[in-house]
Amino acid sequence: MYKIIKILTILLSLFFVNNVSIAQNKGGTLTVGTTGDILNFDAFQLGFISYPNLHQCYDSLITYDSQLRILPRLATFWRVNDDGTELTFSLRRNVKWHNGREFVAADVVKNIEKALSPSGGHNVHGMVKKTMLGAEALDKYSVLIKFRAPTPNMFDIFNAMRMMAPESFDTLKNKCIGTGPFKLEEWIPGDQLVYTKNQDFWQPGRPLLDKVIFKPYSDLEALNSALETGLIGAAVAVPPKDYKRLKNSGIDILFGQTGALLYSITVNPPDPDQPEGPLSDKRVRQAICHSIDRDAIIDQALFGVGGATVVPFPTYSIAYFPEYANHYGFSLDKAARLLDSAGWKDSNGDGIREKNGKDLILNTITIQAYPETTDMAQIIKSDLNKIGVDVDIEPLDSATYGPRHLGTKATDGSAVFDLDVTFVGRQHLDPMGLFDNSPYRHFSSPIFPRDNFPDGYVNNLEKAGSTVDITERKKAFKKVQEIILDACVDIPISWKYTLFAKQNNVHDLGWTVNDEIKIENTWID
Amino acid sequence: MLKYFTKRIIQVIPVLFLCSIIIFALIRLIPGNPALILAGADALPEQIEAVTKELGLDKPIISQYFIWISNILMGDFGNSVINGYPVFKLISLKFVATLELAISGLIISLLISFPLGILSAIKRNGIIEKFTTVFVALGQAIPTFWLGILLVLVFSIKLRWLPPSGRIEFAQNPELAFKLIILPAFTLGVYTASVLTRFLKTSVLEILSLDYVLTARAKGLSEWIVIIRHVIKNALIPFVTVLGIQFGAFLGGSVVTESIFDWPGLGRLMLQSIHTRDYPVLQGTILVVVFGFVIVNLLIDLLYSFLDPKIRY
Repeated sequence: MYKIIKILTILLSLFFVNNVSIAQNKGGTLTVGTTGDILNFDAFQLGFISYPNLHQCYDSLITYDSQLRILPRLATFWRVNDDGTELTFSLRRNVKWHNGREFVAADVVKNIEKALSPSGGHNVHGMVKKTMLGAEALDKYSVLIKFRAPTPNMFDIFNAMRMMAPESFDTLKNKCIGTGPFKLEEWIPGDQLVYTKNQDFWQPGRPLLDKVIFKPYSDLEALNSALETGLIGAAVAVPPKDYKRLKNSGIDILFGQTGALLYSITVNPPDPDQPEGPLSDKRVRQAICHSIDRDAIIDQALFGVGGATVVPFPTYSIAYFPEYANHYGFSLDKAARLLDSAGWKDSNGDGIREKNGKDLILNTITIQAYPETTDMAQIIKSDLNKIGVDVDIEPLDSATYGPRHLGTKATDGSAVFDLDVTFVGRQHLDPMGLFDNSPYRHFSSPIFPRDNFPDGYVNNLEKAGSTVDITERKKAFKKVQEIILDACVDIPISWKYTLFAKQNNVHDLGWTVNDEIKIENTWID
Repeated sequence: MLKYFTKRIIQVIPVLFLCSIIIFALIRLIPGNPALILAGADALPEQIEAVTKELGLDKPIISQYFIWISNILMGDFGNSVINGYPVFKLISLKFVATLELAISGLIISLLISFPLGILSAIKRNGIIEKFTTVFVALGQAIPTFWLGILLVLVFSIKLRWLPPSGRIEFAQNPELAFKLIILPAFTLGVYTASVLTRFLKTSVLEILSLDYVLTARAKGLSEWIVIIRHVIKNALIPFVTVLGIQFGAFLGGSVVTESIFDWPGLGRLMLQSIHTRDYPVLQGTILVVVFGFVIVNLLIDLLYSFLDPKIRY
């Protein structure tokens, strides 16, 4: 009898467990709060607000899982030739664009042509400019992509490159035609972006929701209140300062991919034409590297939501070398000694070091839209003040930050700052991704505008980016990191986590390896 | 009256023309441009150049101005350089929301300031005057963002009586639309109410001391008739002037209130356009706001003649 009851109990629990696992409600509307509105529907603009949002409309040829394994999306099969210069994709059949037309190889070719054009390629252009030659359709469902040299990060490019219907290229400013799980219903800039279920989505039974509404909140307090009162079901990129408050209010907070984004400081050595600036001396830059109290920054500016790092690659990267992990410890004494040896001394007793009658003051720019960058700069300022370095902090809005960060024609392409507290991305996939970010770039660099890179930097990066031999690549990346650490022009601080918030009744909210919110499997009870 | 009205409308044209030059010049003085936003954070120099050319920003400033103003004269406000939306359509969408909030804020400020201003002047040294003094001081001292956040914390998060933010059309769901507008309208109305109360009180006090009020009282008219017929009407002229200025300011959108309550009005549109350096949207919106301000002032001027028959145009 006992055995019968036991078997019945097991069967009943299996029945309920199975029921729970399949009881995903279909239908309903999910409202997702965001910290800003998208710029437009151009999927090659990888802005931090547009990028995660547009994932609903567009799809890519392949994707990665959280272990960085390649998974099929619009492509079902791929083949790389022996020397790593050609990639052939076989496309999924019967995939429909949102306008009902079939997705075919010629569409992929058109998207690649757009990526290769300087005006249409936006952020993707920088990724393909140096590597990709072009593409051709072999037949209706096969595409051949050719590269100049073996390109180890070729799959990263196709993970980031979302396919847009070529007939929509002229109307991307306010319309999207993709193959993604949701179709655009309405977009009122600054108010709301409404997507409805794509009934012809290639994945059977998906998406589960009928509608997704993205609501931009220009005031973060309004976003929090909307979450706390249940006005919205989820939110993307919740600021770290609100993590504890929202958690205490019963909101589920999920952390995005570790290593996807990295807070770092770019140190701008002066233009070689004007070499008298303090940062032209490596010892001064190294002193700054020793003055970064990462623990205090994570505790006070990131409210514990971070992970200190001295190197720009996460532990799972092929470019991670544990021997460099503690290269620059926080030591103001060491920093002071380096400044002394560089000839910067406080001879007039005003608390600020000087050399040749010039005070050691560093102009530091931060991003207004990410207030934590200014908080970080304040902590750095306070530490640098202790060793006689003054810091002048300038929080800038995106449009003002751009020309200072990238340089302009007027500055001959040279960035305009001493320190820039910023964040970069893509270093978590193939390590070459890091070097698509302007501070790390080995061409058209705003901090080395005359191509005056430290010795070995360009050669080793070119080697790492043009071979598929893992040993060779590791060797090259190790050398590059040695150069970065020695030159102290880029100072990693902490991993930046994208925080996703959701109500308890919202299930299976996911994100991609690039922290794009994934709603195709999401359901609401 | 018609002659005066026509004359004033004609005067608006040079005002708007001058404003268009100032608006255009000031906006171009802000560092940064939309090409940098569109090209992306890590854009290469050749990309920035290509986008700059595509947007026509490589042309001389003077020719950019003449292209813009000649299009405006033909009724074409252009399209947003960021999202391609027709500027006029964008402004119309946001203007409705702003107008809704402005009228609601104004109603709340009138509901508070009118009784408080008059009663505090009539009942001197009483509890109403003491309350009014405190209200006026607090109303002008409390920052709008603080009041807004406080109201959300109390009425939305703690008591759960009202939704914290957002807007829907009244036609869609009148009850929810009404609930949604209460907190932003109150936040916007409190400051104006305190300003209007102070003006009305001072104005009523001034008129109460005039000879014709004494005469009216001497004639044996009841105190309320004196107040209503002889005091309030005359006290309204400065009150209406301030009211007009405040309403004009509301029409320009209240960036803080709109942001706190996620109200999709002109204020937020302008803020967003400044961030993205969306020149056509920013220029068009400011021009419309200036036009609205001028028209409101004209209407206020016309209202004077109704309030005071001695004023004739």
